[in-house]
Amino acid sequence: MRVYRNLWRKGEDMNKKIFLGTLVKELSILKISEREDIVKEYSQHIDDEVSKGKTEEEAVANFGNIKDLVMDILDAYNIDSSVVNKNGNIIEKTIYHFKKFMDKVSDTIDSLPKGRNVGAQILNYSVYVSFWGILLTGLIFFYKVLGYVLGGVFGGFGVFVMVSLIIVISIIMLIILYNITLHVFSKKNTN
Amino acid sequence: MTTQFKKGVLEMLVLQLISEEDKYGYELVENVNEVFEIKEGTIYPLLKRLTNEKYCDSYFKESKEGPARKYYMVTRLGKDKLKSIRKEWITFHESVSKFMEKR
Repeated sequence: MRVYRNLWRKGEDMNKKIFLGTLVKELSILKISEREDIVKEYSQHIDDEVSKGKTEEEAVANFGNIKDLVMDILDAYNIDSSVVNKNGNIIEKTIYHFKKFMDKVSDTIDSLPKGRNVGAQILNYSVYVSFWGILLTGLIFFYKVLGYVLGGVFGGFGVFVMVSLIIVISIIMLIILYNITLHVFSKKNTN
Repeated sequence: MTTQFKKGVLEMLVLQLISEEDKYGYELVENVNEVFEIKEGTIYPLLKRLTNEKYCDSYFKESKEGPARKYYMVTRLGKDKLKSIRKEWITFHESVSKFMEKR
């Protein structure tokens, strides 16, 4: 989770170790040799900057938004698919797409009006609350339907499956909530 | 808007620079920054792409101050690519300037 949270951080927060660690995680779909190659180059670049008098954080900030950077790097590999890790498993790919979705959510929240005026704050909160309202309503509906279907077909076993699903989905929702909250409130603090 | 211009021209600048002399990533960033400012992150993905497209190649060279550095050199294909990008750029640059001057 910690590395994932780094996607939200501004460049200035990151030192070399965190930056490189994030890169390694984000580029997990690539072959190990390619990944190491990339990380080594960035590491050397940061060292060069530091020897010229910059701090690690400044050097990392000069790379720009790490999300965009990772996109650019992966773009370069779309040309030659033989370097994509054929063992990049379905979980890693799912997590990758999940993160892309979270980025879209965060960008949407970003584009909302910020500021100290009450109107903007109310708008922010109401969007935030409605998002959760819709999500929860959808989930309750989903549980009801699923419970009905599974109970009818599988009886006791169906209930067991449904309960496990509820637990898994609730955990995922809590993770989403945690990260959005982190993002929304850390962004607010930088106003 | 300038970012778009820069991105388009960056490939040409990089190919030109490595066709004159083999360079490593950090050097290239410094050289390009003399022409215009770029986000340093953009250089390495570009170099990766150029390598994958066989316009340039890389090798490691020992350095006295530290670990071996990765140097980039232009390939035959890259030289041809540079020639055609250059032609495109000159034509593009001329016609846009001509257009803007008249107004």
